[in-house]
Amino acid sequence: MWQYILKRLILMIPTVLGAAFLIFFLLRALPGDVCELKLGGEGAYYDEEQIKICQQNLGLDQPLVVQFKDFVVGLATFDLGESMWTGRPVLEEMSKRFELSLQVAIMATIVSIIISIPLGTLSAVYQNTWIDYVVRTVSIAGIAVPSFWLGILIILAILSISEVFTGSRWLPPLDYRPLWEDPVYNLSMLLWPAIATGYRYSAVATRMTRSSLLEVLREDYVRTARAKGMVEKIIVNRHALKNAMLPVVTVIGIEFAFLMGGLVVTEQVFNLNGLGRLLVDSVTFNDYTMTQGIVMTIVLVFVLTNFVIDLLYAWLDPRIRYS
Amino acid sequence: MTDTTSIDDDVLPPPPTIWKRIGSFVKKQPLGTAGLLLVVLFILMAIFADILTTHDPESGEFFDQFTRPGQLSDASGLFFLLGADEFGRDVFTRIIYGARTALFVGISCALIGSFIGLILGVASAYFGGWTDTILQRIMDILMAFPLIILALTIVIASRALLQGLEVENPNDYSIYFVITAITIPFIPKCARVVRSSALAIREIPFIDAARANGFSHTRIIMRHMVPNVMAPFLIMLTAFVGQAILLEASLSFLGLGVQEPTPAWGLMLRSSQEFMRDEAFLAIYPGLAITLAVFGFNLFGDAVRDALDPRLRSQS
Repeated sequence: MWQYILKRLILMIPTVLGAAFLIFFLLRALPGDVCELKLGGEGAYYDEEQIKICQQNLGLDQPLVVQFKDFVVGLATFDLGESMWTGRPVLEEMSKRFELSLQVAIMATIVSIIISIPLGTLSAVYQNTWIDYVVRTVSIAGIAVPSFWLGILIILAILSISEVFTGSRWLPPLDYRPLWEDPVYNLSMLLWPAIATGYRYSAVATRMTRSSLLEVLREDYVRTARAKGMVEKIIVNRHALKNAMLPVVTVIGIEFAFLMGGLVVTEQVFNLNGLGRLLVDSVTFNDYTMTQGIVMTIVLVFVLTNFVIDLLYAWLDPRIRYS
Repeated sequence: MTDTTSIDDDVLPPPPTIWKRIGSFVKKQPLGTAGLLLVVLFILMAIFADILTTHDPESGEFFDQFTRPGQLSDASGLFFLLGADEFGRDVFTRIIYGARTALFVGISCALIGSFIGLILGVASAYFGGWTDTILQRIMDILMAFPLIILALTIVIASRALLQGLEVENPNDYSIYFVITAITIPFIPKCARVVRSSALAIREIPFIDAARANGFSHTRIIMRHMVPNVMAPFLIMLTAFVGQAILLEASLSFLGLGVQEPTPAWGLMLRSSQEFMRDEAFLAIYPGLAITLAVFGFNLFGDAVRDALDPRLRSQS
């Protein structure tokens, strides 16, 4: 097993390097100059001299190979350079936001588990009845509703409900306080984006729970349990659900990795100062160093999560061998 | 005695008419039929946008601003079915024209992305060896990016490209860059699925026979392998349309997709954010349009998947 883990970890290196190369190529080697874009982006006046200084500061006067080497060495030593917009170290700017995004991602995953497993089970047990159709429609709708629109609807609902009950319009707070410092304040701010993203992500897990449970319910050992006269409730909850959870765990894990990307839009709606927001801002301001830093971080989280899921999968199901 | 033709008539049931076939599809796939109807509705909206609307989609009169849905404007006396936005433009007209933008982006991304994926996937399986390894590694790298992150990166890169080319109205090109940004992440997804089917096809002797006949690689790939992997290809294609519409809306919502004054649903939601405290209707209808369109394409895609191959389930 250790050999397998080591092999997978080593195989990750070319993928991450390739991703770094792709980002580097996209942002640096295409025609068009970062400095021109930065200085002239708002239609401002600039001269050749400023461009040269800017290029020197960013190391753009060096050959591409040297630049790429510096970028990769920086990645390996966790030195992502300084933001082109604020001048502060990229890593410092990111770490402040990472906490918030991570908390929303975890909360959204919990929301999606709470929604998907009971609904998926109901849908499978009452297959092809109206319950099944309602659950399936709700879950397909969950994939169709854009999470940013769901966010807007939630905000509208909060506004009108608070007006009815308190007479004044209440909106979730905007500045972040960590969970352990002020839990009520923190949750009143982050619960809504977690619901908006969680519902969307529950849709896939609901469908997976349904189809996986349907498969398990047709197996011989379930028939044996029924033949013994076991209560249906116990068959489903104790015997079938446990075995059906395997693919569901994988899907939830994959979704967690996707969440880091999906939050980009939700954070915009709820005005959250998270990693996704920072990415959109840095794209808007043509902040190349910041963009590549955040994208590489997300790619790393994504690749690592997939790796952990693979391990988890094999650990949960002893029939799967490491190879 | 009866002659042979009448015996055949007794034994063989009459071939099902087109209406019967449609009837059995409706019966077997009620959700898919609903999806198909929605899809047709949106396609009709996009085609006949000019006939269905009376207002100008891109400009309005400022004094019609925020006219409530279903009311006549006090200033101009014009009727606004779904209200008017902050520039006095008719929301209904913009939603109908928005279907054009959404479907254009959605369908072209899905077509281009899955077609390139199809060719790469089949070629990868057919040639094997080094070609396969290198192509698969490239696909691995592209798959290491969450969809929207890769799309965002392509958007920022395309902006630099435009700056370098020194075009006059960069905003006019935004829609093509949105299409590129959404198409590229689709390619590896489709290539993966197609490749695994093509690997099985490759082992069937008719491919060896074709090669023994001296056919060129292109001919074997296009005429012998591609038609046999149509099922996974069509499944991916239909699944992509909904995803592409959603991605375009997300990018436009972030201000990084289609640019004003082009009517696009995501863009309408973006500008509604500023006014939604008082003008909630601005935020509701465009979102409803996105949801219904994606819902329709997803339902239809699910039905196509069930009909073609129930074992293949796309994960997202």
